[in-house]
Amino acid sequence: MKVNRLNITLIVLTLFVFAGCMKDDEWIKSHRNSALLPKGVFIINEGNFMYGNASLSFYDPAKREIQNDIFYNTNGLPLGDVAQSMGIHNSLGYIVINNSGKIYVIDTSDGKYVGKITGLNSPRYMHFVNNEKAYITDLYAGKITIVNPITYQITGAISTPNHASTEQMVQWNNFLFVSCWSYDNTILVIDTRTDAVVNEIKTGKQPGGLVLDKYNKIWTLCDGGWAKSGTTSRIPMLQRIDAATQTIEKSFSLTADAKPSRLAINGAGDSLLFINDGIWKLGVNQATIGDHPFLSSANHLYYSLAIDPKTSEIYLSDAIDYMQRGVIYRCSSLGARIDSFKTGIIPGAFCFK
Amino acid sequence: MVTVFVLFSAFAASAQHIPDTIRIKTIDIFANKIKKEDAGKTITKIDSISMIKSLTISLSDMISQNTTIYIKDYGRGAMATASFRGTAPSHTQVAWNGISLNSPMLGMVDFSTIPVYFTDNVNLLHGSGSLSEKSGALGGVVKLENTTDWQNKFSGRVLTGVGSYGTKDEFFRINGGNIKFQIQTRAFYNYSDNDYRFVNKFIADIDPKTGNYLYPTQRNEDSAYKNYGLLQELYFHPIENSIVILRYWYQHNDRSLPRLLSNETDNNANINRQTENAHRPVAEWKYFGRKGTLNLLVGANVQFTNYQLKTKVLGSEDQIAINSDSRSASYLFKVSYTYKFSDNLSLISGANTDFNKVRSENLPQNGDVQGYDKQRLDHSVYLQLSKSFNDQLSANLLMREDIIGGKSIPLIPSAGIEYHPFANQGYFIKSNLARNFHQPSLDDLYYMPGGNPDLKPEEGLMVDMGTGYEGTLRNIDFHASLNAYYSGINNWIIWLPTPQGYWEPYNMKRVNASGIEFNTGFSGKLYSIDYHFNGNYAFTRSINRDDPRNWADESIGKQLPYIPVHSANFLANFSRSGYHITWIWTYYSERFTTTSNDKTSKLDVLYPYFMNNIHLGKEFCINQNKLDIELKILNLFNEDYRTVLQHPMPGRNYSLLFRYDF
Repeated sequence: MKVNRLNITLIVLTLFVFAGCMKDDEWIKSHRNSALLPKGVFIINEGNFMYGNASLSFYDPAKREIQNDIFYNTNGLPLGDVAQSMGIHNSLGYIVINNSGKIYVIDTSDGKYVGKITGLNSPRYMHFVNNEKAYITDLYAGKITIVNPITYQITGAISTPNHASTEQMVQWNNFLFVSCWSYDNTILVIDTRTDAVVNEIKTGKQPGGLVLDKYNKIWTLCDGGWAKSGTTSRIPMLQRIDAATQTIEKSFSLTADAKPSRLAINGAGDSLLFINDGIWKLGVNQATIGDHPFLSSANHLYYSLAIDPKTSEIYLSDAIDYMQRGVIYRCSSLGARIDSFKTGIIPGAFCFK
Repeated sequence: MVTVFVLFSAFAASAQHIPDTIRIKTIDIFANKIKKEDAGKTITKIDSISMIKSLTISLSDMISQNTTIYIKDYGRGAMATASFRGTAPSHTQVAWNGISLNSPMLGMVDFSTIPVYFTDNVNLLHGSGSLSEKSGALGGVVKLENTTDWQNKFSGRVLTGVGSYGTKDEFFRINGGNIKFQIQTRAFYNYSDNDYRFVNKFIADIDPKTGNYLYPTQRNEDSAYKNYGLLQELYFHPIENSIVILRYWYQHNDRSLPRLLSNETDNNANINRQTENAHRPVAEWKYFGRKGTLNLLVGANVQFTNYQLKTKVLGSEDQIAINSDSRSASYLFKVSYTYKFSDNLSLISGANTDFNKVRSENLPQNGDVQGYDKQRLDHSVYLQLSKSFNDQLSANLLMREDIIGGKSIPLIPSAGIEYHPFANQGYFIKSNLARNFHQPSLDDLYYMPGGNPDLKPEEGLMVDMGTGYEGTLRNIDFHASLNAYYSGINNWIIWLPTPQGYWEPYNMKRVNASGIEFNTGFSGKLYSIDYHFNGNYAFTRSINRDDPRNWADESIGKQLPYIPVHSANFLANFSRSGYHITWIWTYYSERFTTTSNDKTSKLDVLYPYFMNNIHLGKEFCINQNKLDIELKILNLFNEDYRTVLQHPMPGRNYSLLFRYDF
């Protein structure tokens, strides 16, 4: 093996061929195609925490067609890190991106990005009070941010001292009920005319889901928090609150090992669903939760659920191993499977258009 | 007496602590006859040129530039974890002079926190070859050693550097002593504003007139890091045939994880900060008897970590969203005795006791403290018989029995064999076979919320085969080796999110990690130019063999996320009359971010990584001392790149180093 100068030069030149072709521009090649979005449901895929791979899907139940990654494909921008929820107001869609501290606003007819609300902390849900005022809850901020949904400007805040976490919201007349979920056990009542906290209702541990039934009763699902090591002092429960008197009327306790999540109500406001391994159903007039789930989990780990307010069809999501595209099951109101399709990573929330 | 002398001279020979110049020949590394105790093992030693080129960088950068281990780097100055042979971060054990640096809390090591300057030798024990060191290293062991030079009277080194983004590096070392006693002190301080600029194409404002996107130019804010440490060593011969070594390593790290590119929170919101303090004392006694060598070691690895996620509030106290505090301690006792029946037969017996204690707490601003306080006592005993049958064939057999938290786990056997088919030539064939167990970390078992006390240990069956050559051909020192391995790992532990919003670990049924590793290098002299090349290539398949969860599960049979199939690196170094140039090239193929290996969205894959660094320098001799001035150009081609989804990385940047050896 005779090494000479030419050989070394050749080796060095050959190796330089391997240098350099990592281009972010390639990566971000914008399509900016607009998707045509008829009547249907947006599916908000959380993506993995700190991966920034949240995505938006749209399902057309009439044609049984799913379009995935519509935000990225339409706008050439990633949606962000941990998409939490979405609300529609005046044909605009507001997508809350929890760990990116922002809300993306899209045109719900074609998915186009039209604006954003930025400078938030750890936003969770958005509630529209009127055309000029919306509230945004936050996991860490210790306040509810007030924004103008037309100008996308932050216009104020409602401080929630001693409650870092504010979660879901439901409005009855001029009163907004807000669950304080993380490490908390409170529902706040806010007067939407004055933006002031007017009452606090103590609940079970970690109230999350919040819905209003047709009898003006508010239901909340308390997941019970986490047992301290060596103890089993958790009592997950479903609680009913009278909206007018702002008091708890009834508590349905679940077993100490239950991990309930995702409370939903049908369009008629008379039937509740939630996940606790399987899918459980409770009529709002029922005296007890039965012993058997409405739908057993079989070999599914259900992650999220929603009920179409018009058709009462049920949408269930299974995140599989949480690191691949999850699957959605569309079922009739009686639980019969109509369709199934894949969306994005960790399908967590639904928004019906 | 002869044995003692041989042992001493071997110890002294391996103790060349400061290579004289960067032109030092690397032949000493490869020319050693195969030790029967190491027969069949795949061992990579980082050569002296790579060591000196890495003095001011962290172990993570050094490993990614010089070995087949894949480093997952979360940003400049931020956390970096290792995947050795396609395994998880907790499957790579780091041993520093006999004590484990893996935190019993997390099971893994953050390689970005280990300064190369604090170690003299870095060896990798691949796969099953690690069992003589310890059990549980399903990927392998990174062995860091410190040595001394008994001939030294007084010497030292000062290294100072300035770099882009307000980076300052200061290193200091002083050694003094005589044939009976040596004292060595090293210290480092490393600070960076780390505020590099980049154009963020992951977010955009819409121009109200044209409708075009306006991409912001941003700085990597709130990512400054500051690390400093001290390493104090004492080496002492109380009597002729024994050595006492005392070491103490203190280190402080203060840094943060960069925010994601899609982040648009309030500038003062969600600022994270991690502060760590580590104390590592070790005392070691070696006694060289006529036929046996006794080694006693007692040490500790105590780490305090605080992580905060906070929002700065103008004119008021910071609002702290997450405040988690942990204290993780391992206390280690080791004894080993090597008995040489003859030059061809030896027996090593040893016992280790590790006492691990972790207190981990999350202190929310409102609400109860969540956390755990647990301890575990682990024992391990082992016996290794090694035999040379003749000059060409050596073999060894090892048996290890572990008792973890009072429960004994099945016997761990390992066997190795090595054959040199041609006498007096450097060709070799070797193989190693072993079983191995890796215990869940205390976080895996008890973390609040999510810890799963029912986790089973990970259990691996590992096969290793290799061939290669090392020797000198026409004045060129040359070595090449090719290894193939297969590891079937049952009960692989993985953390996954749950519907409750927190993560929980669970045992996957099985992961099969297999692959090929190729290493080659040569060095010599041509027209008065000293040259040195070293290259590595790894082909890694780390395949999910879990049971499918349901019909929709597409992860089975796929590569695990964030493990590249191909990885390679190359180092070329030329020097003449004190001038030197080094080129370092690193490559990883695309890495999937999903278990299903989707490629439908651009977020499903990280494109291949190519990195080029160049070092240019000149060494001056001043009396007996040496001054070296070196300019490092990092990311030579100014690539826009990611190593982890959405973490910004710096463009071309520079570092100027002055090294003075006295």
